[in-house]
Amino acid sequence: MSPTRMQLLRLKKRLAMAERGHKLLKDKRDELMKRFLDLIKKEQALRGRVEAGLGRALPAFLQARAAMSGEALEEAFMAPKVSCGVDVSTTTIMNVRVPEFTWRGEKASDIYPYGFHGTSASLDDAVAGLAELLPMMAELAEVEKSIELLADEIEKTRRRVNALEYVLIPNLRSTARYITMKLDEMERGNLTRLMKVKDIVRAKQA
Amino acid sequence: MPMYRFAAVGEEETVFGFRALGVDVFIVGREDDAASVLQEARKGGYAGIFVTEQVAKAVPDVIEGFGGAPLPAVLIIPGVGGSLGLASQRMKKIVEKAVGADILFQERG
Repeated sequence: MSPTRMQLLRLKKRLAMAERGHKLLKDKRDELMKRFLDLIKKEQALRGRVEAGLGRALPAFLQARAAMSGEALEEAFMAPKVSCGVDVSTTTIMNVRVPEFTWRGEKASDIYPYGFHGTSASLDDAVAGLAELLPMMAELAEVEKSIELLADEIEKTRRRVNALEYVLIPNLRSTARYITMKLDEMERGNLTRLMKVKDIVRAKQA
Repeated sequence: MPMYRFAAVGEEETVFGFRALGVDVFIVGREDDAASVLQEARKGGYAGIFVTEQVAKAVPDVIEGFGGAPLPAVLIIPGVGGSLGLASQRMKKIVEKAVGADILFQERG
């Protein structure tokens, strides 16, 4: 890069821009981080509840299965009465698109897809327990997904912040310093030359 | 707005109960089938897929592959035998990747 005033000006402009970008990205990173931590806390709480709930419901199913014949069980589950699912929309957290699930299952009291004849009572418990858990599981899935997507964005932002902070900005600074020094040096060289010329002219006049 | 459903992927004794509640069930018979069954479930257009720890353990790379897209969301659930802590390990990895340090899970090791 040629050490000219023009270049110096250009560099200073770039430096100002980089610093502004750095500040903005840092703010973005901090805010992302805050959201991320909130989500993590939520995830941990939900995860605990879901795992505890499944820890009760799943063995209950096993028990029921042990108490019933395979065909009876097959038959009992043949036609699920409740359809469960979610509406999916997307929201954005700091420009990251994350899914948002809205639970859409009937909260019917009659969730059992079978008659009570010929099925064991533990099956009822298991089905009821699982039905209670499903909305929570949907929420947990949404939260974990959001965490995953946010994590990617945080990583990217962090990289950019670091690149600006430790590479681009120092580079620009040192180049600017180099040019300033070079210009000063030229200035001094010019001055000495002028003085010298003046001396010579004066010597000739005398 | 269309309603998205859920799927459960795993060993029969863990996931068969989900069928009672209108969750589509994909049964993984042998560990070798885990990857293909998961891919099949993925094509179903579900909002979320519940994957048991045993399956998740067998094919961690497939689970990772679900990460980029907004759907489906993968949820690792403990099997009948209780939790192996696989889900929190996964979260821990994600946090480490994002933050560059383990800031949350130290106490759990």
